[in-house]
Amino acid sequence: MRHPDIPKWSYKLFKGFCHKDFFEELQGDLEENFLFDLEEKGKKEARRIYRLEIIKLIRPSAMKKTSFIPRSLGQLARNYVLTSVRAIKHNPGYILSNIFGLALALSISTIGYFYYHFNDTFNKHYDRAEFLFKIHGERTGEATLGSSPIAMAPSLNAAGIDAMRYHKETIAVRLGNRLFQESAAFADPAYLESFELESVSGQKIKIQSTNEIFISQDMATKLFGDVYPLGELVVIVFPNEKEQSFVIKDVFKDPPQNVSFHFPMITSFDNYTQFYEVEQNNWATYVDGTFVNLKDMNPGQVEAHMNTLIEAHNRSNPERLVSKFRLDNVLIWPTIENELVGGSFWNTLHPASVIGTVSTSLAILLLACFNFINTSIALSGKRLKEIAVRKVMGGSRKSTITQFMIENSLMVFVSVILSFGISYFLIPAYNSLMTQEIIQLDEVPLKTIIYFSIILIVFVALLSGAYPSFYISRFSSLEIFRDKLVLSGKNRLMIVLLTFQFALCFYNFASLYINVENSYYQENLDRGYDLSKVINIPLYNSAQISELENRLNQHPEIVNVSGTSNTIGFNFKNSSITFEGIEHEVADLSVGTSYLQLMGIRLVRGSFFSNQYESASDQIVINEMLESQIGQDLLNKRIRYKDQLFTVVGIVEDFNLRPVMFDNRIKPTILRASPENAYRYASLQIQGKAKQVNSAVELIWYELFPQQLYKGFLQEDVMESIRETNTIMIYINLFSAVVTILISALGLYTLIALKVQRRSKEFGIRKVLGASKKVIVSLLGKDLYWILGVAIIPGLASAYLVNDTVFDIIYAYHVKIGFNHLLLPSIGLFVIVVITIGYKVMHTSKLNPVEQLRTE
Amino acid sequence: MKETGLGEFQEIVLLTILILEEKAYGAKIQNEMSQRLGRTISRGALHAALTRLSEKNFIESAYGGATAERGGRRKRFYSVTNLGKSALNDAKTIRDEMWTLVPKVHFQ
Repeated sequence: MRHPDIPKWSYKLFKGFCHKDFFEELQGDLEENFLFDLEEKGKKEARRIYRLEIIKLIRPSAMKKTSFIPRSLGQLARNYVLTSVRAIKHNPGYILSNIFGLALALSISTIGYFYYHFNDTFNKHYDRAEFLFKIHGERTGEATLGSSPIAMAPSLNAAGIDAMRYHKETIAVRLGNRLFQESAAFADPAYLESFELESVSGQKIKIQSTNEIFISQDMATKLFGDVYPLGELVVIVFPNEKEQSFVIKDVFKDPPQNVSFHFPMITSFDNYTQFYEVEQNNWATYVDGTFVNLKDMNPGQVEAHMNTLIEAHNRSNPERLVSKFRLDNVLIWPTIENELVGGSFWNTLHPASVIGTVSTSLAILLLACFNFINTSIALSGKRLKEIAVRKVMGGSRKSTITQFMIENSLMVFVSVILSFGISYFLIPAYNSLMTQEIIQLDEVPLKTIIYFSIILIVFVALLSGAYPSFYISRFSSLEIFRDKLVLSGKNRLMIVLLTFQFALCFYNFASLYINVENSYYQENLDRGYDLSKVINIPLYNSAQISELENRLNQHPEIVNVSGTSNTIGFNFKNSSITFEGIEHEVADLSVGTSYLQLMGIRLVRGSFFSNQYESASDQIVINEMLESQIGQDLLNKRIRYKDQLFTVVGIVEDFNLRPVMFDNRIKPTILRASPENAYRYASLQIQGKAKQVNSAVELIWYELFPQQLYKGFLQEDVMESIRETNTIMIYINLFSAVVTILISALGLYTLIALKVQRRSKEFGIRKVLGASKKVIVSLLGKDLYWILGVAIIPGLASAYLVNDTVFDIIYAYHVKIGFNHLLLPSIGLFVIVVITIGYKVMHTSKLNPVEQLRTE
Repeated sequence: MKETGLGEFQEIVLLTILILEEKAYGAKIQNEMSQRLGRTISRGALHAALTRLSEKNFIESAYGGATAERGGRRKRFYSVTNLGKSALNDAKTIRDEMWTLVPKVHFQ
């Protein structure tokens, strides 16, 4: 009986853990003291002391001696588990390394799973997703339009269809006297009815008035250092310097990463039409997306109505003729988003990257399972007598199989638990590598995690436990007792599995090396111009250039300033020229007269533009590729471009027009002089550290143009995408290489160590009879040479093929994979293998045969 | 010199049991010790010491009768065994011997 004032849960806890021999005494003493304290010190203090006493009693001497095998399992199952635990205790080192390897592989397959999950649940965050559609405009012979005319939604609304517009723009936020570049979404009120957004306090966000704005949690902390700045004002600076302050109505929770819509702030669509001066019923102005919420209609009806609007659209857009408007469900749309023209929504991961990650993680998981199987087979060789005894005592083959299966499940179970621990540290590290957080643990429901682990345990335990259990339960006990059965290392399955493991190791190791080399190659690739010494500043109007030039020329670290309308590496347009009646497709850049010198473009023959635009207006500079395509000396020849004749004044070396990604290869290029009133950028040639100069220039910019956002960027930003891709590739490869090698090396070591144990007498006798160390080493390594020799061929061949194909797809220029790229990693892998097993082998070969033979 | 196998805390527990004579049970020992040492002794710490002492056979224990103020739970009374007493004696002898060897200068 418990005194009513004694804390209930502490008492229950104590009763739960206290050994029954002590409970009466201890609880009696505690209660006696409690009653004393109750009178002396009051109820609160007495209860506090009691709780403290209970906590201090949590010590082994007062606790129950518990067994970690649950009693509820039943006697038979308990025995199976008990035997398994004993078997594991016999070889803790090997089994722990096995479990660890499997756990590592499981952690990685978690990443694979999350990649799949990311795409699978894309946009499913929205409850009404299956009824929500986006309007796309099909065009004959051209890419489908993702964006749609601003007038579309009002026209559909008039016909009783629930349509809504969403548009995102870059704006600036003013805070004190500084401007921050941000983006804001503008949406019809119906948008938030369909694509629900939840506020921090759990309410549905509704756009009600035009002077209100909703901001994200990140934005709230960034702007106000406050998580909940309701009622505060945000000043937004639109292009053409219009300013407007908005009241923060609410703060919304960031949606998961795998939805199409991401914005730091959202406000009424009417603000877009007002501040960007666009008309509601204009068919020529486009917004990022128009969405339809189908309530009681089918997509066909809406599409039929939309197609009556084609004529109105095409009349206003002769350059963008649409043949058909169609609806795509928001669950399907993300998979085609990057094929669409216009709009900037988030889309699903490229299927190749999902397939790549999933297959890599499956390969690693398979490798770990194979390793597990191998070690299990090798270890079971030591347990033959146990199996024989079981059989003699009347155990059936079934019970032996059950025993082994339970053992394996137990080990896999431990691995799964361990892998959660590893994932916990691994996933943040992995996410930080990627631009997008693909793995969001908090977005995955607990149920999924539990199902996922159960499937893993069953799958891996069956896969890795089945073979050893069926294999070793087969032997007859008589043969085992008579020592007739030789379970040598020559198990065919083991050899096949090891070969597969090492093929994967060769593949990963070579891929890693190839990717590192490629990154080095691309980092040092000659772009044809100077990357590190140029800063570009987008201008709001061309007149800004002269003010900037005057002010910047005083800065000691700025060597040269030039205006330009295209910047090499970031933009150009496709045009055509005519020479001797033949038309040629060219890339077309319009640049400032001194821009080419400033960029460090190298002249082959002739000269750059004249300094004044007036004399340079009919001059043209071409690259070597265009000249060789036309096939004759073009210097001082005349070329027709848009019905005007230009004189070729110079021929320059080829240079990259874009980052060397995808199919951005060098093209035949023309460069024309741009009139000063068409300048869109100021390009600065600088000395010293580009980043520091850029921040200095930013300050100067705000002195000159305090109302306008500084958007200057480094020429080196051209490298950004490629560096990012390379880093990801290297890390993924590094990671899988390390894991596969770690697992394989652990497995290999285990196998060799067990082989040494089993054949120790044989080696002893061989040594007594005069075998040299060399003989022993070659005996132990014999199979291994074969395994490595066979594994190297598929491993390296696939490394070559896969990387070459992948490089061709994602890079315009990449390192040519040569013999060296395959040879060096192979040598590296051999060295690792030799180090792993070398010690054990050398140690065995040096053992005194007396030691090996003396036992028994 | 003989190893008594007696820690300072255990020694104090033994002495307290001797002081309390027949009335030595858990709560009583705990309170007596807390008073003498001038600090709170937790029942957990005492339990650990008592367990160690019984393992060494320095003390023995027996249940008393049911009591009302403890929710009807019996008290367990402890007494020091002869082995315990001799261990205490040894510890005292060792200390006394050592005290005589300490030069008086240190305490002036």
